Amino acid sequence: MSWSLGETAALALKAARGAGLSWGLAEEAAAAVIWLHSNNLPGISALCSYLGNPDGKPRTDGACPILTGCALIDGAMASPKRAGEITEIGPVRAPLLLLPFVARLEGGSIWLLTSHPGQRDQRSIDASIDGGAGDSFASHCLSGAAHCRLVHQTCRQVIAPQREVLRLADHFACCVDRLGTFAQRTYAPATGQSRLSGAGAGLTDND
Amino acid sequence: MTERTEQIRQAAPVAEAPLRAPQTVMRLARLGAFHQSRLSFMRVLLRRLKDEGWQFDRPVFDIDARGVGVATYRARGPHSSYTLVAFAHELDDSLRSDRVIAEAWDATFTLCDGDVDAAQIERLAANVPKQEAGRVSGAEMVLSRANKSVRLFSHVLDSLSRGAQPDAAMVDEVGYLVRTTAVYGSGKFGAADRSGWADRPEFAGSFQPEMLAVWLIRTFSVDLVEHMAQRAAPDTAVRLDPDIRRRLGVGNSTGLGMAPFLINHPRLINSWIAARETALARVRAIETSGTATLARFRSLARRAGRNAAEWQVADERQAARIDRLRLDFDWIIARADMLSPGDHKPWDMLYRSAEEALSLEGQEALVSLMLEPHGDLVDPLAACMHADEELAARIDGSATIGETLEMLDDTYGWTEGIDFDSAAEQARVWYVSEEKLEPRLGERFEEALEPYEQPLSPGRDAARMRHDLAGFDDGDNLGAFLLKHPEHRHMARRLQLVSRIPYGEIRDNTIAAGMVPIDLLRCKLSFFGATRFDPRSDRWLRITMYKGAPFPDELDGLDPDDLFYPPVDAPFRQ
Repeated sequence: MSWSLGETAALALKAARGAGLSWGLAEEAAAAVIWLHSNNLPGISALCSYLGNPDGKPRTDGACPILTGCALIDGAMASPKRAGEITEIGPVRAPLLLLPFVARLEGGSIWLLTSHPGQRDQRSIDASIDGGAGDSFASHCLSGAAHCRLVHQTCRQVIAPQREVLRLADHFACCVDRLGTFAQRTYAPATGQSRLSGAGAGLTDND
Repeated sequence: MTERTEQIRQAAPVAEAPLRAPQTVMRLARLGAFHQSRLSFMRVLLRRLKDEGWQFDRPVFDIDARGVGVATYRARGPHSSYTLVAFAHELDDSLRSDRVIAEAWDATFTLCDGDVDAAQIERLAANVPKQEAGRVSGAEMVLSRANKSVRLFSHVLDSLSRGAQPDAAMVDEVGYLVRTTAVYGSGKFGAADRSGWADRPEFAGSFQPEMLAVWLIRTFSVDLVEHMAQRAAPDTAVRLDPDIRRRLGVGNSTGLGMAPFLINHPRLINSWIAARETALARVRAIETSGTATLARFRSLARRAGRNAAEWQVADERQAARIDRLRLDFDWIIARADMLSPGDHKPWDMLYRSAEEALSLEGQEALVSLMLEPHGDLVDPLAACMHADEELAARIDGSATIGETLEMLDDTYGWTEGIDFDSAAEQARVWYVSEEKLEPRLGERFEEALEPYEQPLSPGRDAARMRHDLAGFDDGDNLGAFLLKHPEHRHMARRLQLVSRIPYGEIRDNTIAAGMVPIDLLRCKLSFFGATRFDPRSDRWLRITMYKGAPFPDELDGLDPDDLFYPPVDAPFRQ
């Protein structure tokens, strides 16, 4: 089983909306997921991690990566403008989701660096990322929040894979299922009235 | 104007009259009166297949006497080949529904990239008949299904079995043996993403793989009925006469799923409308036209008039419009006869007087007709009719609130007279049901649907954003506004996009009590090339595709562009 990027984007959009993001932010979340997969990074796992357990309480251990990313690209939050400058962002949940936004700043020369003080089992983003090297961030490394900072460098942080990534592989099945649970919340429950009047058509067509 | 349209205009400058204004064109009543034209996607496809000498064959036809089995249809072009895999099923009448909520069909299809082998057919046989509940892969491009017109299929089967041709009047009345109830492409249910094949020259434009699939489905529908007749009565059965066969198109039932598409793809819609408007402007700029061109136009006007004369629908609103259209064609034919080679700018003169004299149906029928004798000016524009929609195009957060309010006034000024607090102006809710994700339209004040509302009301959302922008200073930045009001992010992005393209936004309230959803459907279907729009309610309609068009085995010898209007001297319903 594999998934097209188009259906992955549609799923991510609905899941983010189902989890309570505004439509505009849900669009940003879906675009971030697709950007990550296009660079061989596990975007759908990052979104899964951010949205959390569908039955659990929303987490509050860090800022929203989508809202933070939007504030950065909109210019509502400052980012470093000169080589060597650093901007502290603070704790952000599922920080891999912030990467697509940071990559759009200053032609890609802003790097996102993360650290997990006191959490050795958490993987950090601490260097350049080679999308051609394959899935370099396993899903289990993406949970929780990390302290984020932006550093202005002289080259791009993310090296795009030479071969275009067009599909999501089978090992994302679990994330697809979980996002499906969130997406379900955007669908109206079936009712008799809705069934009969909502599409303006009858139920059989023998003519 | 799209970037691509602009490139073509600059590369090959052609005289053009001013384009029609967006506030004239982008109204639901006018969009819902559009007709097929030379720029319609099925005509673009057939022109290309013919010009490039595509070859067609049927590598597999394994169907039994009951009409159950599998067949494949292969199209081979200069660069690539594609194969339609068709599965024919037996379907209980009680299950034959054209709605998305159906779970079984008379036939199911997929268009594959390249040739197919037995293993691929086996994999597809386990998935394609399930449609949305199955999975296809990146080797497949289109997923579709169809139901029979039981009445016409039975009649044709009985007739051919007896050695007779079917009743031509009945063929014309129904118009198809099968009607598709969905044609999914572009990454749906696991199929290949558009980005994987969009740069192939054979798919330049819009919806070309889908159009190819439907054209091959038409051939399958005829092969199926001929085969079943042959198996039922091998001694007496005959094949369909080619002239009668050509009167069979493919039907299509289209519901609300298509309506959001127009709103969700502003760049694409802009590219379609801009191409059509540019074509009209080119024709209107022609200084004089010769005898042959005028004769061609007169002939086509009569044929299109005949088309209108034979267009029958039960829907009262559309029936009244067709009555008026017939009178409009009397006017068009009379004016066409008055045109002469000495006239200065004859087409501009004709169009301007039509604006005064004709209904919207008549005006738009005339626009399509005026493009017909001018393929050299019109057809190259088909290459502009595509656009990549960005899921989340970057918002210019540095724009000031003052600039944003100005942009709202320019682009959404038409909303000023609408009171979005009134019940009538926000009566409807676009939503998706959990029942097989069927898109539906509900009544906001009668059903608890608002929490599930889709963002398909740009007019209201623009008004809401304007209201909240009023609380900020003109010099503040949009970025700061959106940080405080993320609920307006979707609208802010849309505003910045559609303010740059003339025909990206429909200038009507899409949630008003009086809104007619089939106007949205018809606009899109006219660009496909559909004919015989037959509204079945205010939110779904039936159409016919490829009626009159050549079949693969006769494409070499016929001009597909000449066949979309019926001949005047033969009974024929388009």
